[in-house]
Amino acid sequence: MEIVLTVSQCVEAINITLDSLGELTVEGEVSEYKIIQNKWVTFDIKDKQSVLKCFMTVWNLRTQIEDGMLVKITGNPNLRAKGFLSFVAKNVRPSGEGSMKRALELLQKKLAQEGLLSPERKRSLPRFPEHIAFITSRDAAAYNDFLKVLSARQGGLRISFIHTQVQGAEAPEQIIAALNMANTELSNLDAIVVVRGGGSSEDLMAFNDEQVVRAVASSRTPTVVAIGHERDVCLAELVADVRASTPSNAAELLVKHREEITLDIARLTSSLSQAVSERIAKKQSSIIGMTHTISNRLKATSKNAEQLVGRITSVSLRMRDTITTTSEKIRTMKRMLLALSPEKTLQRGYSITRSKSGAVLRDAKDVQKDDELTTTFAQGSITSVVQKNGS
Amino acid sequence: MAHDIMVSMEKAVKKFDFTKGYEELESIVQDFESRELDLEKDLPKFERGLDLAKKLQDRLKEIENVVHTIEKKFST
Repeated sequence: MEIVLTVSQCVEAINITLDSLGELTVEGEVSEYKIIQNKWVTFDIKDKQSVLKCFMTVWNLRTQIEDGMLVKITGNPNLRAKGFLSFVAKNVRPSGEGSMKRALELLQKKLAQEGLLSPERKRSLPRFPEHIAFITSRDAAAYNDFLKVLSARQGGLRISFIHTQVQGAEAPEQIIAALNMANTELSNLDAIVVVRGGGSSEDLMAFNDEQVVRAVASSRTPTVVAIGHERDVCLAELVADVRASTPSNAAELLVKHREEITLDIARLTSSLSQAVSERIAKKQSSIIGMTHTISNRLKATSKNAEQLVGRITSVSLRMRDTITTTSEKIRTMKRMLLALSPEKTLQRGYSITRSKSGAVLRDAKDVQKDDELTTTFAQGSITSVVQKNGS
Repeated sequence: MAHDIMVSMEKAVKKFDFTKGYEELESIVQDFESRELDLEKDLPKFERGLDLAKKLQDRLKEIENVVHTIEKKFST
């Protein structure tokens, strides 16, 4: 019996058959490469005889491609309802050294145009990182190299280690998830370190994956990235805040050696003590200065006192002279006075009569009968009583 | 890729903040070098500086680094 299918049923039946092929990897040259609405990617891959139309999302295109580039694509063919076959690619990888190099060049150019490689974007690492997120594979030599050098330089650090694959198809998603987690779930994080040891350029591809590179570039926490050897340069390193040549070098760039810091602290302490001792010395010298001033003043004062004593002495000497002269004058005057004194008069025969009160009597009216009178002669005196007032 | 992340982490013990301590010491030194000191008033600051230097040096004497492994599971 003839089975009649609807067109949709037929397309579905073909797709079931196609799915049974499983995931296919196809190598071919890219042509007609286009990005639509920044969401979808379409291109053809071809060899000398055949062409396959390819379709994928921009998110899944993790490398830069261009027409003429040899690529390997992995995905499934699918017959569209509109009747054409489209290869739905999950992943595209440049194939061969030349294509890989070219893809990197293109991605680097694109990142540069966006400004992601500019030096102004680079942040400096904290001076003393204490909490470090460490992203690598626990099986890699890089894991031990980094931790060993870190411990040799400083202790007391907190390392939050996140294990990821560092090569293979799973690596990019894991590295992106680890970066995301470090940035969102770790508290007081000072730096993120991503390292991987040396390997072939294919081994290091995860660190050229566009989304990994963007995750490093957009990290909120400053990043140090060291991938492979000195000569290997991955785009993740170029967008990192600090690029280290090796995992050991990452530890060296991240933390100072404890001896270096000890020396810096010793320098600071000595500056501190010096500032204080200079101040003390200054204070001391100002005290000495003040003492000198005071003692000088005291000396000056005592000199003044000496002068004063001298002056007093000379004044007193002069006064003595004056006294001597004056005494002489007085003696002369006394002699003159003596010549004119009442005694001299008495010697000439006069006498002085005084009342009892001692007043010199000049008038007989001043005495009464029976008054006691004293008469002084040149030699001696007598007391007499008035018998009769003759007036 | 869908992934499920499980984080197991010890609560970090709050310890002396090295960077803050170092910067405070630097600022004390800068301050002391930039002006005339008042011995009496500045003595506590001087002592604070010496104390910070000691704490910083003690912290540098630590030998071991603590590595916490953060477990995460990826499922496809």
